[in-house]
Amino acid sequence: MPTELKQCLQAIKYFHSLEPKEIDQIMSFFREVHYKKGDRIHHQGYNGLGLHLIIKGRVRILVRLPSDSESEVAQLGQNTSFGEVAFIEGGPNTASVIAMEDTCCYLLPKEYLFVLRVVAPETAHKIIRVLTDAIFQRVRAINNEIAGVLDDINKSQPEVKHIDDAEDEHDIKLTSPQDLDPHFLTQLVDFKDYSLPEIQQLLKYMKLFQASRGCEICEEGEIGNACYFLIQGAVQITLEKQGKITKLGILGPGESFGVISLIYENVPRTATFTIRESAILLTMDQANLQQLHDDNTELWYKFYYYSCRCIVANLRIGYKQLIRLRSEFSHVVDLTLENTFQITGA
Amino acid sequence: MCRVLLYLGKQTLLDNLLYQPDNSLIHQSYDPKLMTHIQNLAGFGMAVWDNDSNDPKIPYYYKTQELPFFDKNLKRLSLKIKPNCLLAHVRGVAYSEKETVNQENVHPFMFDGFKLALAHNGNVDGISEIKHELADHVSPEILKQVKGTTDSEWIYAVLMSQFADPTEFHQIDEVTTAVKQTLQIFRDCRRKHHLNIASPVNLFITNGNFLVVTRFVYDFGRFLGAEHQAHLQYHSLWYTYGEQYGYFDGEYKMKGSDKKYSISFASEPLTDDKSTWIEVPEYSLVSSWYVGDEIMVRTEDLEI
Repeated sequence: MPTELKQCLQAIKYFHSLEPKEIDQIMSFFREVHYKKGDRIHHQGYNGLGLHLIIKGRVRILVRLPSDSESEVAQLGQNTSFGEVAFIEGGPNTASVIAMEDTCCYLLPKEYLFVLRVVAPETAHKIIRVLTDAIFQRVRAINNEIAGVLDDINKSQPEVKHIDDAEDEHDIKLTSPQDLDPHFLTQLVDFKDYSLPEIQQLLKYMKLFQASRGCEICEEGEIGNACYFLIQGAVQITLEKQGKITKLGILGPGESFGVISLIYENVPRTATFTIRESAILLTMDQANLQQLHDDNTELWYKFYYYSCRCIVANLRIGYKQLIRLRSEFSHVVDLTLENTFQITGA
Repeated sequence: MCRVLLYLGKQTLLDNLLYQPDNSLIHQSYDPKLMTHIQNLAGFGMAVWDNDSNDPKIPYYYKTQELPFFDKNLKRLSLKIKPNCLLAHVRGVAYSEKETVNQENVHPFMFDGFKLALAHNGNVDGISEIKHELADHVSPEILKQVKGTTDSEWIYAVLMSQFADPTEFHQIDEVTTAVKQTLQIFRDCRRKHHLNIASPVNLFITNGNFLVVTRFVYDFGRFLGAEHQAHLQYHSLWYTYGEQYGYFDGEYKMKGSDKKYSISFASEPLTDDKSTWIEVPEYSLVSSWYVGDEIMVRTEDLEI
């Protein structure tokens, strides 16, 4: 295989955790691609191709937002990469990438991630893990950026109130996961990629509970050890800065939260999650995740991968909020595109 | 689920908004990108304000139960009319004999002599059970004008009943207050009747001079079973802003600008490229109004 690719893989931090034989193994999954000067490699807003490693040449990263023409936010050269988010999650690119000169890249197409997960699950897991680590750092950075922006604009931004407990009950009731219809779960967003038998297996490692409106499931800054899957109802995500609360987003049936505390030990929660509409939830803690690993490693790999995709979803929620704040309060805050790119990536 | 388009700003040909964009409202009526289980085959309506027209404060008001993509008259009109403000709606209903497809049920709603028009994307579950309660919150004169069978027309009737004189031009703050009161009245009636199935209420309200929009769902995420697929997600709502909507740089889009001279809200982005569109947050009310020739936008949380 080309020595340039090997050197590039060794130079890029995402692949540092791989053994030499694993490097050799994944090299066959890369495809050499050539772009001419001016070629648009990634289109913002459209689905990305996969993870690009630049072997030779240089690219411009461009971002277009409402009211703006395209602005250059960064340039990347040899032994750097772009397309990590789309590679993990498969969603749309948050920036465009254009070749500044004739450029040679090695592309790990996002479709190959599935193949890699099947033929070399441990290697795929290591790559997913390190890419997720980088994305998680961006989640933290984007939440900090939002909190800072809100601090600047809090005079004009209406504050989100604490959710009133409009119902009598405020407790959490535990019931059995066996009460759930696994056929129904297959229709929910974060379960739709699991087969029915896999869902039935996963339910053995989860607890089911009901929580009423206003109940705080996770608090920003606390050390947690579990994640949650919303089956019915709604959850509000908020950040708090100097006593002021701002809403980051809303989760509905089939969406999960708190995943960071499941796959990272002793990491503080990045936001507060409160029941907005009376909810039914599943939860899995680290002990049960370890048990799943011991009992069924194949399913554990899959569960871990989809948990990592949830962290990418967190990044997109923060990105959406940041773009909206930039649009509505551009006269109050100086939220540069360069800063936004630094924390969201291409 | 219906599809709605709301525009305020510099004059642009109606055709540029309704037909030409790659995901135009007319296109969405038969091939929506963000929903798959229903098509909008129950009629089309619009209210169009044109500053150059006769009596510009009164909109051109068009309603038909015909399908918009077969409507030759609509196409001909769209090549002549240049709105400063547009509220257009394609109606979608369940494939059921229980639905009533007629002109009275086509949005937007704008009763005789009133200045505010309203369109709705969503449905209030159990509306028939609470109509008699809602009637207590509707003035008799307004009740007489309710001609259709939709939940949306009842939202409009309750909203307009919040004003001492519904035929006046109201300030935007009065309208946002009335919207919140209306949503609260519906919430109270639903609670009284123990109705707690998810009910989306994306509202689009204008008088031709300002816009008030909600992205809201009562009891979001609560459903009876797998048959309530539509209740698993929040109804989509997006906006974009800039100089003017039209044909620029080889495509139909909002032309970028440092200031907001035009703004458009839509159930789905009008362009395949969503990068210049912003998703309205869930449980939110968005207001847009003029200060001089520039449009302001403000989003606030709806705690109903």
